[in-house]
Amino acid sequence: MQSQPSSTAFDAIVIGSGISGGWAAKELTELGLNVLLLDRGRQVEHLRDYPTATLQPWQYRHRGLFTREQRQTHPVQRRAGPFTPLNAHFWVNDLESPYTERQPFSWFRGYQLGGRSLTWGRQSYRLSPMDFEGNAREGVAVDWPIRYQDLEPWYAHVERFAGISGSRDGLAQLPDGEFLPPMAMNCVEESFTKAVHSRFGGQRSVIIGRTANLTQRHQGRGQCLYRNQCSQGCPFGAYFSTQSATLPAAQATGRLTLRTNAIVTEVVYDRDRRRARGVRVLDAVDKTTQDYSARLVFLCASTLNSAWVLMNSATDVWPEGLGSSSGELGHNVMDHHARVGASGLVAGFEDKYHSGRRPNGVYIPRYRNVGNDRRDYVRGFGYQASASRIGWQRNIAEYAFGAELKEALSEPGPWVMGMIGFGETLPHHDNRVTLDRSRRDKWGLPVLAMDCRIRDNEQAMRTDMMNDAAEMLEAAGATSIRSFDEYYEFGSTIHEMGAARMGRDPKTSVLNGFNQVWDAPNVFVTDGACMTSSACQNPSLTYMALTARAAHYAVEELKRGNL
Amino acid sequence: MAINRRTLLKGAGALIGLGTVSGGVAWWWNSPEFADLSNWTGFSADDVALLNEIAESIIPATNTPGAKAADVGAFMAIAVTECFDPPEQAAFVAGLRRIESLSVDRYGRSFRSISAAERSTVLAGIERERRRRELWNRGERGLRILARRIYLGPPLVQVAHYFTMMQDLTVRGYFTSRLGATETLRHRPVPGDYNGALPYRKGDRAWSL
Repeated sequence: MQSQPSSTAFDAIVIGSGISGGWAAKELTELGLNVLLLDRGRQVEHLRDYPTATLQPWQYRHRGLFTREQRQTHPVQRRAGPFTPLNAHFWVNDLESPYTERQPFSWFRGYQLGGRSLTWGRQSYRLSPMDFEGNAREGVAVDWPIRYQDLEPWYAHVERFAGISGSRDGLAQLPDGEFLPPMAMNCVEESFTKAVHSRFGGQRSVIIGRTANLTQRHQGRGQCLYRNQCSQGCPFGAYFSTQSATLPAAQATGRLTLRTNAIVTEVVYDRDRRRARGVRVLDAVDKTTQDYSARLVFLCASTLNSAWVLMNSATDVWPEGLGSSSGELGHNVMDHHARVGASGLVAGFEDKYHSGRRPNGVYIPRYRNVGNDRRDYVRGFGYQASASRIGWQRNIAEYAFGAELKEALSEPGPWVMGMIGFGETLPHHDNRVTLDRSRRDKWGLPVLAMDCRIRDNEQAMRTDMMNDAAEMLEAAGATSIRSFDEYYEFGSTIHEMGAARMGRDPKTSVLNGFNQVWDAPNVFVTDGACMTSSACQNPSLTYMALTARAAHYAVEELKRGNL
Repeated sequence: MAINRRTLLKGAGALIGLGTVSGGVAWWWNSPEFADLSNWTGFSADDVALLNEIAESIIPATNTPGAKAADVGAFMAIAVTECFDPPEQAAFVAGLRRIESLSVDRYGRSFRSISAAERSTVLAGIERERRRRELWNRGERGLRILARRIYLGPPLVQVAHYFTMMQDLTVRGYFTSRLGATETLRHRPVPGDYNGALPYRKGDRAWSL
């Protein structure tokens, strides 16, 4: 299917096959372009290459424990929960692809076809009008060059295809979308919802998570059967991934050429035409080099790798790389700061349990600095939360061994409810990534150096994030409440964005309002790198919408002869 | 995720310096707790048989099968060999030998040959020791400071108590086994739907996953 393409000339080249790149490939091929889709990693074929997707617990040799080898090859990836012993094959080998931490930074990468679309958290929320207006209103960084209205039809466009389940809640700060039927809350979450609503006079709401898991058959894909093993690959294609959704759509056009193990080392720049000519590819296996040409390049290599490609491109014109004329390339890196919240026990529901493993929880949309609420910081945060009864994984203090221990662990424990805050991180010029030419990766390429930290606004917000969580659990009657503000490390929420922001002025931004590099208008960057602010919602749905919008614009511009 | 029922200190984090030496003193107090594994070739069939008997004492057969029937000993051997870091392996193997020597000292026979009641006596003694050590590790602040002052040796390695490891591995190995998941728990690999208010009566089994 991929191997070596016979042609080296295409209408468009898409760099990266994750959520954004998959969308670019789908839209561009469906609009009639011949597209070369490149990924730096190996081929992962839907179903065939999901080795743990249908194993029973007793078929896992290590029963859910990390092996020593997994820990040794993934010292960064194992810093956070999404990396598990059962999906370790979908995360980068850190020894092959190191980076420099000028300040602590966790960088989670999925170097294979489909990228992190295979392992993502699937929570899918629109940004709202206030999210696009915040920078201008508060004089933070630069203004977004677009408003919610510009993106609204594209949110609808991608939701209809991807399949997002959710409820319509009528919240101004979290616009409703084109949803499939919502998943269900459990009895404790419903009780919590009512308690929060009544305690806070309707100013705070709790909604079922909006997730890219299908609650009914959709676009030829099967519905979610509640196994909650998504990140191992879904045998039913029930969650959105490149493999389950955008790649088959692109391939169905007959206009897609796919090449894996293709590391793009630079966008080849034509200084006379002020356009990209194509890309240079280093084969990850045999280390040969090949150039491909195209009229259009979509850079969707994931936030920091897209910045890396730009920094390595057109250096004969701009030593700091393509897009660096603004002085903003690599700057304004953001994440969502998390690892703060609370948990507690909820009594009164001992006669209820749950069945099925729901790959979703409840969501508390932002309420701080919304409406009449004013805090001593700007922006706000949302919570992901859920309630459940834990089984044998819980600690039984009373019994160390024997029939009593077995009996106790054979029954579900008490209901536990936990909440984790996801806070907006402001774009700060000094939060940046640069090339570290003193270090090389497995392929001899210079690595990135990260120099990012959360600052006063985020720290002030975290106090509310912790205390509000405990307050809401208390309002819902929880006991043994434990609030926490654990050490947050930049990048660890895996929502890294910025580094090549959109803006209205080529002097202060890397991309314009249609994601075009100011200095090379036939190069579009549509992954998280383009974000001008972070909002506090999980961002992938926004990348999908921005990508689809940019792809349609690019094809129109091609037709108009402007590219 | 680490071995998490009682947190086993994770691999790379197991090497500690003088800054947190109180745990090291606990080690020193209860020494020797680390076996010399320089010539260790892995667990023997006899070791696995002994591990199965220990596992059976932790999760015994009742009206449903126990850990021995689920061959949890074999899983423990795999986990310790392929998942544990060397200091954890050394603590685990020393613990295994200690259980055997406690049995021989007290009853003149291998742990594999003594009665269920005698096994419980041996393990109850070890469990008391384990709890003492947990208390010490949580320790009085003054004691910890004192410990830091009097201990002048090299940086020490701190790992979980071997019996904590055995308990955690047995629980994990048993409830993820076919017998544990399907006969002691309820197993539904493909639930098909979600019910957030399933009626529950005391005694109903938990789900396996």
